[in-house]
Amino acid sequence: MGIAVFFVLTLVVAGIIAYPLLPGRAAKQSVPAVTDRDIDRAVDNLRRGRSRGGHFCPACGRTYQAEDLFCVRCGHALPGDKVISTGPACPSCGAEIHKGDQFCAKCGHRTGAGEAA
Amino acid sequence: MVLADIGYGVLLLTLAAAAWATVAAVFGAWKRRPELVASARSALLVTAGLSTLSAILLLILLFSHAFEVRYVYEHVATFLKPAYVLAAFWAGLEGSQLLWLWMLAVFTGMLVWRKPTWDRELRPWAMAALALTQAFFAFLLIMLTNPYELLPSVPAEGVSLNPLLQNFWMIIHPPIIFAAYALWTIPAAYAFAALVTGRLDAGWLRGTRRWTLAAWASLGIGILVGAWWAYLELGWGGYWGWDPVENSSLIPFLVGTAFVHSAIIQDRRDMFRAWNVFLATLTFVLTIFATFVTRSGLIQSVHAFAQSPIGYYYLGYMLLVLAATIGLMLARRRDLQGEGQLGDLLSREFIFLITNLLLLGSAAAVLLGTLWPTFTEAVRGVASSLGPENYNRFMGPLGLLLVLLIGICPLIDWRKISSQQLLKSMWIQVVVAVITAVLLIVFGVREMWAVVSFAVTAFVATTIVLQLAQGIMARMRAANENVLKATAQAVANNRRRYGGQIIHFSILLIVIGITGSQAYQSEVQVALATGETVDVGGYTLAYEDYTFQQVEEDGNKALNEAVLDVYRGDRKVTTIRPQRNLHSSVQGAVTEVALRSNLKEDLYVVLASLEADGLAAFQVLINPMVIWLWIGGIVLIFGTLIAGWPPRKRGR
Repeated sequence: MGIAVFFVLTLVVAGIIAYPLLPGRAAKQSVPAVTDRDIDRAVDNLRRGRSRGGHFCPACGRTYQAEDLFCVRCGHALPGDKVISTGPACPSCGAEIHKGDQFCAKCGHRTGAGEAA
Repeated sequence: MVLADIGYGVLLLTLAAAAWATVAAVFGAWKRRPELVASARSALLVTAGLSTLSAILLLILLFSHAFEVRYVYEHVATFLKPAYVLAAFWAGLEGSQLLWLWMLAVFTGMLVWRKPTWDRELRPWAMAALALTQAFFAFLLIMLTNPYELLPSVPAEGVSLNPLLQNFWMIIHPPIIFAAYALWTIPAAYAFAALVTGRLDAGWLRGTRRWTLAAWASLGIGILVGAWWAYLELGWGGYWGWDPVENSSLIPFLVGTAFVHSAIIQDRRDMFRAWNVFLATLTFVLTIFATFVTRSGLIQSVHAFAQSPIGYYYLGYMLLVLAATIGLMLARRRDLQGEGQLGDLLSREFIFLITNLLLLGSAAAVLLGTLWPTFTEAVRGVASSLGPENYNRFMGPLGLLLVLLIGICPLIDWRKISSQQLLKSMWIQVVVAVITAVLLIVFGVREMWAVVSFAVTAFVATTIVLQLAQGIMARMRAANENVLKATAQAVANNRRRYGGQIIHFSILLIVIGITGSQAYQSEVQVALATGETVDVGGYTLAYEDYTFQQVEEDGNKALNEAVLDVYRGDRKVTTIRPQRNLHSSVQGAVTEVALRSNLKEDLYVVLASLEADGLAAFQVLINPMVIWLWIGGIVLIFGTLIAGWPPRKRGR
């Protein structure tokens, strides 16, 4: 008698516990795929991004400033026309070169060997 | 016996379900597998049901006098009144642990029943911690303290319940205490979850706030009910003897009180993150310690009936929880840095910090005092325990300082206040306190510490009243409401604040009760023959009649009773009947105190001995103001309800 009751009880308990594990019973009480922490981080990045110009690296998502050429995290070449001014450009990387610069400020290419003022 | 076998089987299933819930919750949260977390939730609902079933089975066995079950045999007898059969459930180690497990499982069930809201991320980890604790108790019950254990033969009669426990307050005291212990597990479980997930902002504190309040208030009320029982049943005229078992429930109460207060600081100022996580866990660990002290026989006391190797398991679990918490805290040390900075020395944050340190200091002192006999026995081979005077010497001043801070804290602003501003805002209180002290001395109070205690109480009460009055007057002026409406609105709009103030007020009532009864207890020991009278503290007691060793029908108790008429001047006030009964089950006498209470004092009469010819020895005590302790307890419940009542749902 005792054994029988125990047996039935065990089946009921096992059934209740296993029920959410059945295929197709995708639980309603889910563990979030995106946690609040992830959201916080994303919001944080967005905020930071806004203050830095709101640009994101297409490869890794890290923010960059308008004049950056490469992503500081993954090294991906960043899109966009970086030559903002109409002045002379570095023959190597295309960055703006100010009058009198001996080397490119962005890539280090020697640009004005003999032009010293 | 079929029922006992089923009961044991149910415990096995409970352990299996709790163990599964632990594993499934951890893996589900870790690997982000919702179906595993859902299964853990089902398992926790199952353990709530199963532990309820096992409690019902034990009750059935107790009420049906199934003496072949050892626990029933040891705690029940056929002549035991039904109410005390209920009390027998939690009179012993086995039943107490089952009660712990049952309460914990039911509260956990209530918690997981609702869909997670703010705690989507924390819930699975909290479930894991709760499930592990359930598994721990289920394991102990199965391996060491099976309440359904059978005896080799069936005794004809049971041992019955210890007569000291045959008291109404002992029916409700253990469930309240164990409910409090189980409730404290919930904030601790969320502290663990916050550590694991790194979400250490005030979210977990806000989300568990009501559980914490319920835990704190139940523990406070449980302690008061225990004190009331000791006062009525132990017959030495006091309500608190610094007994290890009393201490063991006071320690988590003090630490829990520190936690409740530092949680407010994290909520408001994002400080004390690490501190809060640690305090929540420590309170829980100390509730385990309290169970352990009561039931392990580590320290001998009137309560510690049982001796069992179970202590090592308790110690192991406590160490596991502490080690896990400290390890996680180290790993999370960067997340535990809050935004807030401790401001000026005269800031509310700082006063809260001092309050915290005082509470923890007193908890540590009580803990040390409680363990003192164990230490001395280990070191010197002879256990020497500390008397109440040792405790009173440091807990008195500490307690008064804490109470004084209740009165100062609301006057101090967050971040900073100048000392001139502070003095300006408390001159009224100081004046009231000084007047109180002077009046007391003029009216002949000579105990200096009692004068100080009442003056401090007056100071704090004035602060509370002034704060309330300010809020109400502001409303009356601004919204043009009458006093009643303004009061109701002010309280309704800021339940946390006013609930807290009411709780503080209840603490003052308790302080008044303690001070009055400590300072002015007077005692007379007298032997009287029938017809004689004695004058004590304005009362005249006339010894009218007695009953000598009248054996009750069931043959188990011999009633010794004295009948005394109490006069106040010529007017007869009441008749009291102190008893000193012989119980066959303990082969000794148990006193039943006769008590007459009013707001001013208790007349407390103990029948010390009774001869066959009616010659009786009485111990008569006048305990002033004791009733304020119990009134304070009722006000405390009221304040907690106000502070914790769910906020009105805002209409759309």
